[in-house]
Amino acid sequence: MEENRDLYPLRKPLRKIPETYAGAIKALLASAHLPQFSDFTADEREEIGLEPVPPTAWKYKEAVKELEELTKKIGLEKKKKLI
Amino acid sequence: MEKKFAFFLGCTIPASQFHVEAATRKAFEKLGIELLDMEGATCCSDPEISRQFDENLWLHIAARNISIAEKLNANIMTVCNGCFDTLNKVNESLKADEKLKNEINRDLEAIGKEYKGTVKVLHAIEVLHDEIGLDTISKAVVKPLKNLRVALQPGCRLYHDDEKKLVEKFTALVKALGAQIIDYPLIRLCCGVPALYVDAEFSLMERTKKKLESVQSVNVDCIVTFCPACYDRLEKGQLDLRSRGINFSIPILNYFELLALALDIDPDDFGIYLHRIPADGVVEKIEEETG
Repeated sequence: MEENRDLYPLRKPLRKIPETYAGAIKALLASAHLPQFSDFTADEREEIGLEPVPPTAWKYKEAVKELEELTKKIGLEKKKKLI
Repeated sequence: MEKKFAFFLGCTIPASQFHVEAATRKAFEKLGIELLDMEGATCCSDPEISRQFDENLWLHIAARNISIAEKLNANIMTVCNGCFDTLNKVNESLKADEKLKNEINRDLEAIGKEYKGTVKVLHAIEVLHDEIGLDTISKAVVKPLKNLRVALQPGCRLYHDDEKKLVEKFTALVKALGAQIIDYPLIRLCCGVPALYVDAEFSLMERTKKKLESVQSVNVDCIVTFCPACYDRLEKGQLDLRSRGINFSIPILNYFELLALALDIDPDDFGIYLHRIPADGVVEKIEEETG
């Protein structure tokens, strides 16, 4: 995208995924979200009147399958091995 | 209810700042605004790590998320600066580039989705300021925050788009609750989140600590922000610094928590007790003023 060059003129193509990024990318590809979601969180949410599991990919697991399908379509299988 | 928005939750708010989600939902209910759940939404995806990993994946994930709101026939509202950055940029790019849109849609078709480009992506600031209005918010305030001295933390991304005037609108929204905005020297300094992935020590000592020192120098009751990343960094950073004998005790509140308090929503009902730097002093000060 064009704005990329204006905003980040020194950015270079990624050759290797930095270690500090790897965990976040693994989590994104595995659960479609960055943080973990625990039973403890679900209990705490319920205590303040929220749905225990948020109505996102944490609740609707087909979203994770859709993301897997998209990564295949894009051809990320090779790049995933860099993580 | 007259107005409705597709509520994009993102990752951090529903998983670790869910008191902000509760405050947002309860405040909007009081203001008569309907928030629609975006079922099956994922990470936006985040504008730093996943975009750096693969820009095409970043575009696809954002387009998929926007398509969920399109099905609901509602503009997207997000509280998170990062989610706004991603979803807004992708939405504008795809609306302007038919070829790119068609390429993405060829892949989305395989999962039964389609990006049409029929909705807007709005930061919560725009929803509150432009769609609901300062006047409506001011009139809905039951407990004005007149006694409260607050420091703003807009976060870097709010400065990216001058035309949207998000920082000015954020300032006006805090004033609409009656709070006193206290200027501090390093308002433009980053909270330290991006640097955290490169050099944790630099992030803590050269960004978070310096920011907190600057805020502390002007003696405020709390820092108010919309950005969940700034919130998390400035709160956790204080705990990290305490373990080194450097003591700060500045509560970090999301704007929606201040709004909920001003609308007289019971703080325990939205979970203000979940703050790691307790916000009891903020609640007490509001109660002192209003009795």
